[in-house]
Amino acid sequence: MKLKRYLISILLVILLLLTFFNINRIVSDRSKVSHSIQEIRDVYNKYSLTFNKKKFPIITVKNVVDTSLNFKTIFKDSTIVIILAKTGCSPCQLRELKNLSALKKQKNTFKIVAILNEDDQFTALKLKKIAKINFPFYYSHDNNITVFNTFKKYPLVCLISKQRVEQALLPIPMDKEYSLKFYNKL
Amino acid sequence: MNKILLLFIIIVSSVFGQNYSKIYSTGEIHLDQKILLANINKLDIDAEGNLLVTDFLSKSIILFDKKGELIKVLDPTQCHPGFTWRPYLAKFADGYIIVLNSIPWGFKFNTDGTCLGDMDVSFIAPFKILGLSGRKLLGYHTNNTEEQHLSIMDQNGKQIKSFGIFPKKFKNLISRFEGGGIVVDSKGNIYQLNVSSPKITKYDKEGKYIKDIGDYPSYYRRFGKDPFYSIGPAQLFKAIKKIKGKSLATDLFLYNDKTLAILIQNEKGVRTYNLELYSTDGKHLNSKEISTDFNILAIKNEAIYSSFQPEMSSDGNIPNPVIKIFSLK
Repeated sequence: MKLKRYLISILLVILLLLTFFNINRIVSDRSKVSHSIQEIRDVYNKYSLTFNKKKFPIITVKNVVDTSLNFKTIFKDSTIVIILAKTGCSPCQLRELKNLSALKKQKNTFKIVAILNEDDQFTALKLKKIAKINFPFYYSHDNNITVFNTFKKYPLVCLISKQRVEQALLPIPMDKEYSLKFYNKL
Repeated sequence: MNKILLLFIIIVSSVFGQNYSKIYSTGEIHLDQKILLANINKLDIDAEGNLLVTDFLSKSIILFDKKGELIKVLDPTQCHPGFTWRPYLAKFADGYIIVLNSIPWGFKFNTDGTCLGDMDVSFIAPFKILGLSGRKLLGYHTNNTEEQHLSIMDQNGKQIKSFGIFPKKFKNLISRFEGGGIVVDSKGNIYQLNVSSPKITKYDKEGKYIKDIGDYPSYYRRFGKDPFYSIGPAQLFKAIKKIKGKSLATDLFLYNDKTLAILIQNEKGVRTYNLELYSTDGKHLNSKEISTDFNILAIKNEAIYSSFQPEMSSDGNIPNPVIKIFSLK
């Protein structure tokens, strides 16, 4: 009888220990997941910071609609520039273009410009059409832009003033909140 | 005299018999400008001529009637809200529409575009899919290089049967590169094409192997070995360069119930496409090359469908792509 009680007690203790172990595992897994989202954001923040104070190259880009409105990328006043490419994250590019359109509607004082780093007018026109953008869109393949974008990740969003980057955003795929935080700070 | 007459009949029938050689334009469909469309990446047509368009850029599946008037933009949010919508293929099945999503799952819609529901939890979206009679589905699964197969599924995507012959030598190319295709004729015979070769494998409706159809045309530049064999992400771009200059069997269509059409992509500086036609018994039907400079999106009832982008209008907008229809003679 006593032996039975001891056995039952030991089993109960083991059961309790296993339960606590499982609870601890579940809680720590959850925090690991939330850490990894933050870890990704930290990495992208680090990448974005490398663009600060960088000089934006001066090149001539073509207006997608009217080539007589070709433009030299000289930014004296604060301008948000989004750089796109065919090899870029397509959903990210569309999302950021829409975000910038919404920003332009909210705060019309912002100057915003989109540049497709490809010599492909039709791709630029299609992006302009689908994103319904309300700011100028240019295109031109220029190696200076490719070199400027150290990480070759597209899109790249930069706030430029006096030809130097003040803030940059490398959007994270599937992380809308990260991009919205950047625009809210502007 | 009889022998001479017989010879004469043979010669005349071989000259005037079914021997395709030329592609010519027969019409256009201008799609409704009410909907913003960037590209027609994929196209399917049903028996009534309704068009099912997949646009990767705008992430939409749009149903148009045969004149190009908008019927509906397919939207799964009513039947499965919260799912990331990134469709890559939509097909008319037997009495419904199946849509494959990049996050590898699927959705079903009624033929009027209203939501029908989602697929079975066991369903993994294949690379290609088409409808079979009896509301079933046929899938071409190539993602897993060790288990490439064809599958017959029920309407919810639950597997009924798995079969198929895939060349082990090119399993990575088949897995990584968009190409190949599957069609079914009215008798239920299944035809499979892989991107690595212009040869078709024919099965009966139960999936039992019947025979191989087709051969390498003289212009076809074959792969000696799998360019994607045992490579990591860093070597991927080098492997992609090896594909340039080679021929790829990019799609398979049913030109009519007795004729198969293989679409071959060639790159020698400029990309061109060739059609190779075979009867369902294996007879080669075009002695001359049928070559085009445009991609073919679909073939249905002897009509060949492709898309073209009209020029920009004066107000700086580009109209929707136009569907052009061709035929063979």
